[in-house]
Amino acid sequence: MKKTETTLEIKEILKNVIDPEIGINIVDLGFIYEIKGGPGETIEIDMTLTTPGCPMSEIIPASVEEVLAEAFPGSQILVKLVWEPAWNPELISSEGKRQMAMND
Amino acid sequence: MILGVSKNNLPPLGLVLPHFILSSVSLLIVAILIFISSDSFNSHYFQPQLLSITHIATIGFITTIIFGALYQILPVILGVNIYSNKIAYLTLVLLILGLSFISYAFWNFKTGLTIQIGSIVTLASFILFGINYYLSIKDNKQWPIEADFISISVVWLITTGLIGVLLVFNFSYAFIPKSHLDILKIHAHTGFIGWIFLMVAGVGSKIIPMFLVSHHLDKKYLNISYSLINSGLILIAASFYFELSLYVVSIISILIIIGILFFILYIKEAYSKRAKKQIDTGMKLTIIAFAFLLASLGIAMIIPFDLAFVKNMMMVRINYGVMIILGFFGTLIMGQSMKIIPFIIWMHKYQKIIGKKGTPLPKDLISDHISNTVMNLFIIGVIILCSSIIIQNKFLIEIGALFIMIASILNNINIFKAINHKPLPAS
Repeated sequence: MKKTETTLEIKEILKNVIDPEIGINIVDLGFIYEIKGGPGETIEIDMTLTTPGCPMSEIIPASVEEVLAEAFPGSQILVKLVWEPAWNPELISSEGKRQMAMND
Repeated sequence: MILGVSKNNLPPLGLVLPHFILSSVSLLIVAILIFISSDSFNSHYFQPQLLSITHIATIGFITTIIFGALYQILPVILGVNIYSNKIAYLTLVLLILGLSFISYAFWNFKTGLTIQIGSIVTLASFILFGINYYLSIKDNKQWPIEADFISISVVWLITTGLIGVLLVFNFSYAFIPKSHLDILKIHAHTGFIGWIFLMVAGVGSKIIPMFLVSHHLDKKYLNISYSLINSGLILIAASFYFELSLYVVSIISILIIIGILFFILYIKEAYSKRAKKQIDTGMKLTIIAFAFLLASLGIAMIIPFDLAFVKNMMMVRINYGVMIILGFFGTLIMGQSMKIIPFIIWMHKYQKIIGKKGTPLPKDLISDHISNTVMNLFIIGVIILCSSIIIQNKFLIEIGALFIMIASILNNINIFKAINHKPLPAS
């Protein structure tokens, strides 16, 4: 499978993880910064949240790990939470903005 | 993520939830007491029933929920957990015990042992809260301006409690060489502005932008607000103590008013820069609360002037108190609790299946229809109540209280709906 296809597949799976307050998935919110690896190998995810220093940061990364482990049983999943660059609303996708009734 | 809670730093539901429930029940009691004692709104603010209602509102309704919310939100603002859950439980027990004694004593105007015990127990609760807070944050390296607001508000809380104890003992022993009413004004201002407002500003300046998903906010507004309010508060307390004229007090209070306006500017900026354009009922109430705050400030400005068209200026003072307690703090608390309570319960029920399809969202735990009805009834109730106090209409005061009562009952139903929510299996 090509790298872009793998990345798209992983992103599609990660769309199942929703930010409970905003009600939008973490991919469309722009939380996913980088995806490395693929099926059968180590999958590394660099991700962020809306605000740094948020102690709830365990919950969403744990969910990311869980959904990927379920989808790719042969892979080791490594989720890293990063705060640089800081998340901002410009990172929200068009679909995310549409769902938030946001004007592009 | 919005509210800083995780498996490791989640305070027990059994600690946080009773605070929210007691607060909500206190609001219902306040509404019932206003309804049955509507006559007391046609007299002086230093009146037994009004004092009792004011303490149930400020301690039972407002302080209780602030304590519970802070245990939950401390990790978000300062990245630390509350030091001791046991101290937090004891704080709540003492708070309820103290409030029961105080409100009973005021209602029946018993100025002896009952109210003395009540005031000391309540002060003990405040001090325990302060110790628990200090032990939680003392080694913290992360220190945003929000932490300054919260920390100084805890100092004002203990100051308010201490002045309260002095006032209570002054009833029996008259040892304060100053007017009791002037010291009462210091007690009220340190309580309303020093404790409640500064705490609300500290917590609100963090969580309101979070709920609105607002970024790139200018914190200089908060720095100015913090300095002006605190310096104004010290000066106003001194001016009451030295019995300076009401005009001097008004000039000093402008400092506080400007400080509050800077906080409102910060919230306005958060609102205009919000990514989340759709505003839910909880946030609508939050925004309306600031309209009530502006109205309260307007009323505060006219208090020193003897307005010919107002039958009784004392009613303007009572109106100011009601507007700020129920209008601003009440509306804000109701709105924010519609956001926080479902979230806390949701976290406890769904945190293990957050990534699964079909998991409800926190907002799904309460009924939006009920929330909307609560909002409309509460706002109408507060407006009727405030207007009827000015025109001294007993019947309308009762109608206003009735609206607030129904809103409060429905709000309680919504909370219990969230508590009784049965987790849906993940698909």
